[in-house]
Parts: sequence; C-alpha cells; structure tokens
Amino acid sequence: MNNRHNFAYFFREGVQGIFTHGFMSFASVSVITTCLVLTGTVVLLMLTLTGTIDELGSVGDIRAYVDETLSDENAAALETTLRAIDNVSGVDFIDRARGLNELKEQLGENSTLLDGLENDNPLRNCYRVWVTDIGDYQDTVLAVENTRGIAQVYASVDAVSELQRLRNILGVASLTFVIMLGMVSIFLISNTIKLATFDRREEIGIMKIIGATDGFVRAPFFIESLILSVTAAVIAFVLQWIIGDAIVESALSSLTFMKVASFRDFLLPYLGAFVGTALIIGVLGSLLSIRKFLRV
Amino acid sequence: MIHLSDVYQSYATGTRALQGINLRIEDGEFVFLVGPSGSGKSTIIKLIIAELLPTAGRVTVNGYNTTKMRASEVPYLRRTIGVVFQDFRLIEKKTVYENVAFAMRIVGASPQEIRNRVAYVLDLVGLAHKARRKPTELSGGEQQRVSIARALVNNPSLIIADEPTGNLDPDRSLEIMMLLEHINSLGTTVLVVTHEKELVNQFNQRVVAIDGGLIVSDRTGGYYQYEQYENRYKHPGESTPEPTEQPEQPEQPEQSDEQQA
Ligand SMILES: Nc1ncnc2c1ncn2[C@@H]1O[C@H](COP(=O)(O)OP(=O)(O)OP(=O)(O)O)[C@@H](O)[C@H]1O
Ligand SMILES: [Mg+2]
Repeated sequence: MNNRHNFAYFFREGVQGIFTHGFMSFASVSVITTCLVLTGTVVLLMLTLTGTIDELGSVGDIRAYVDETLSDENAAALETTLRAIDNVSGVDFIDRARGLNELKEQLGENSTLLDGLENDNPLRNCYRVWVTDIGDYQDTVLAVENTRGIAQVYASVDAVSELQRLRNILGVASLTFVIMLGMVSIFLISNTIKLATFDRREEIGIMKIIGATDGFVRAPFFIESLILSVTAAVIAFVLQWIIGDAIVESALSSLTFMKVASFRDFLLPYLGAFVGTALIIGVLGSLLSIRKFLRV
Repeated sequence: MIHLSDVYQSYATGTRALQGINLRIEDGEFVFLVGPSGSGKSTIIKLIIAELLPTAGRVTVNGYNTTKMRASEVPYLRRTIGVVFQDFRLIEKKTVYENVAFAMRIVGASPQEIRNRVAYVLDLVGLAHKARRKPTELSGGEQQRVSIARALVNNPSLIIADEPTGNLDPDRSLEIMMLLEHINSLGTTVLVVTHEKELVNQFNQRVVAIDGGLIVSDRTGGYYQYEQYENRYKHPGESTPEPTEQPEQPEQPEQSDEQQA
C-alpha cells in the first residue's frame, strides 16, 4: 500500500489518541517507566556485584604457603607446577625476605617491631595465585591445596561464593521483574489502545467499508502505542540517571570493599535497552489490542 | 460489472432478506433499484460491497467473487466502488473536508491531489462553503451530499447510491440524479436505490423492482411497471382493475410515509 503520504496523518491521529484517553496514557507510561527503572536498578546492582567479584579474583587473594621442609630453591621451583593448574592466570612467588618487607610496609611506623627478624625470618615462602574465571574459583583453590609441597592455602572462598550467590539471586529477581512488569506494561498499553479503538469502532467500521486496509486502520494506533512506550523509556532513562546511582550507592555504602558500578558508565547500553524494551512492549501491546474491531 | 446469481441471504435473526436473486448489471449501465421498505434493497448493496457474504449463491463485482476472495482483497474491491449509504456513514469527529479527503488518503493519494480533488467534489455537491463543519452541524440533506462527494472523490468505476435523495428537496434531488446520470454518461456504472417514483419516471433508465427478496420486474423506463405489479399482487383484495390507466392513484400516502422513515 502506498502510505508514504500518510505518515503525518497517522502521527496526528496517534497523538490525538493519547490525549483522548489522557489518564490511561498516563497510567501506562507510569507503569512502563517504573518497570524500566526498577529493572535498571537491579541490573546496576548486579553489575556492581560482578565488578566486585571480578575484583576479588584479580586481587590474587589465594595465598599458598610452601611446606617449611622444602629448601628455598625447591620452593621457587613450584611456580611451574602452580602455573600449570587449570584456570590459573598468574603466579607470584613471595619468598621469605620479600614477605617480611611487605609486612613491614603494612605495619608502617610500627615496623620497628620486626627489626632484627631479617636474620631469623619466621615467615614461610608463599605464592600468590590469580585465577582467570572466578566461577571456577573453588576448584582452583582445591587444586592448589592438593599440589605437593603446598602446606596451607588461604582463600576467600566463602566471600566469593556468597557474592556469586547474591548475584544469581539478583539475576533471577531481575528476570522475574522484567517478565512480570513487562507483562503488566503490555497489558496496560493494550488496554489503552483497546479503549481508543473501542471509542472509535464506528469510525473504524466506516474506514473499512470504504476500502481502508487493516494496515491503514492500525497505523495510528500503532504509532500511539509506540509514542507511549518510547516516552516511558526516555523518562525512565532520565530518572535512572538522577536516582539510579543514589540508590545503588546508599544500598552499598556500608560495604566499602564493593566496586560500585555507575550508571554513567553504561549510558548507551541503558538507553538502548530501555528504548528496545519499550518498543517491544509497544508493538506487542498494540498488536494484542486491535484485531477485534477490524472484522468488518 | 455486478453479477448476483441465485443469491439467498438470511440474517442471524432468521429474516430471509433475499430469496433467489439473479441480477446482472453491465459496465456503463444506469440502473434504478426500487421496492418497498424491507424488500432487501440495502441487503443487495451490502452483498455487493462484501459487507455481507451470501448465505447461498454467488456475487461477482468488478472481477471479484466475494465468496472466494481473500479477506485482504476486500479493501481493493471496495475501492472500485463509491457508495452513498442510506445512513450516510460519515465520521462525526472529522470535518466535512476530512471525511471526503479520508477516502483519498486510504488509497494513498498525495496531499496535492487531495486538496484539488476534494475542493472540486465539494463544489460539485454545493458544499464548498461548509468544508470546515462537522457532519453533526449539517442538515440531513447536507450530510447526504457529503456522502455523495465521498463516493465520487476517487473516481470509482461503480457508484452505488442507497436513497441518495431521501433527505433532499425535489429540486436538489433532481440535481443529484442528473449529476449521477452525467457521471454515468462518462462511463461509470451507477446503481441507485430509491422510493421516489416521480424521480425515477423522469429518467428513461432500467428499473429493477424487488419485493420480499425477489426480483419482480426488470425493464427499462419508469417506476410504472413495478407499481402495476404491486397493485396486482400486494393487494389482491382491493380491486384495481385498470392500473395501467391510473398509475398515480393507489397507495400514495403510504409511499410518502416511507420516505420520511
Ligand atoms: N442486520 C440485520 N439483521 C437482521 N435483519 C435485518 C438486518 N438488516 C436488515 N434486516 C431485515 O432484512 C430485510 C431486508 O432489509 P433491507 O435493509 O435490505 O431492506 P430495504 O429494502 O433496504 O428497506 P428500506 O427501503 O427501508 O431501506 C428486512 O426485513 C430487515 O428487517
Ligand atoms: Mg435500505
């Protein structure tokens, strides 16, 4: 169908439809906005956790202490064995002298306590181990523990797995959010459009009886639905910008070790996701609603 | 071309509106369809524009078989026909201008074409000065003329008018009929449903008479033959021995009542 001349007409009609049912339009925009901001915030929390978990992994917080019966040379030779373990991305050998220095640095002005220990170093040789994939963290820790010559391993297995668990829960929660609120949004949009079509059923009947195609009748409602949902996306984006960071920061401010993800780092992906989701909601909402009155 | 063959139409209520209609109207013809109220005239129109599908029989219009065509083809059939509906079917929220322009938007006409053509047809039906009014602000006759303008605007190959002069004064009615005849002389097929005997008799055209869902007369030249039929079969009790000699006499009041309805 040749509709290139009709876009202005469709647009005008669509905008008019929005104002005819002002309250319903307002309600559906509000709900879609809420849906997007809630989901967006949960996703931001997830990004924060993922960042923190990755951080923990890269800190190299697996410390593997070498059996004291091994000579310094043999202890240094373990590096090759450790590097060969699956999922190990890096290994740093901290011999006893370096260990002492690091300890002194940590103690700062109290380091004098350690004076004189250089000649009778009580520390053990030690390895710091980094992993590639934090997901296999526990297996890697186990493999390091089982390496011959390693006496003892310190790893924040619990902290990492807790965070992972939290992230998984948030993942499920945000998915549920998206699906539930998405459904509510589609329902609301389709009801708004249904109301608009019901209001205009006589008009639609006349259009069809004088030869309008379904596409022609549908176009203004389709545009109405798109305008509503994209408006919601833009409002949600602005809201997320203003309050999103504040929410995440206040929720996590007590947990100083967290690497808080900032909305500003994800502006484009967020805008894309919001508008994309809104478009899907808009299209589904309008498709669900207008079939009924087209049968003339 | 319109071809109804053995067409039966029953409504959901059980009313048998048409009971075996055979009617053929060739391209370029001018045909009056007459008959008493409730005889099935509007039902025939609904079948022609595929607003209804026949309960039995076949309806072919401008190359489309309405019982066999796909739903997506229906709009294209309707675009070959300009219909003046008995109840106008104007969109109340739109202005007169928009109502007429709308028919052109549907077919994807350019804004330029729409401006020129709508102005032209509104002028043709004498409503150029009311282009900005809404249908509810017009008289019945004016609404009827908007409906006529809309039927003409796309230059359809077939124009169907259901009581196009029902709300018009005699001068206007004659004017509209002459307009339709003129359009017919340019090659458009025209089918006019009417009660107005005097009007029909002023034109020497084919008259198809229908009663009780059946065609009871089909010949050229005047309402007269139909009335003869009506006298003979409708009112067998009343004796009207020579209807041919007193065509104007019987049932005059009843006729004008129907026109008001
Ligand atoms: N939608 C409908 N549902 C049920 N019965 C209907 C419907 N439309 C029409 N009818 C019936 O079908 C018969 C034919 O109606 P139709 O409208 O074709 O008559 P008509 O010849 O156009 O009459 P008029 O001159 O009054 O317009 C009538 O008995 C009418 O009551
Ligand atoms: Mg009728």
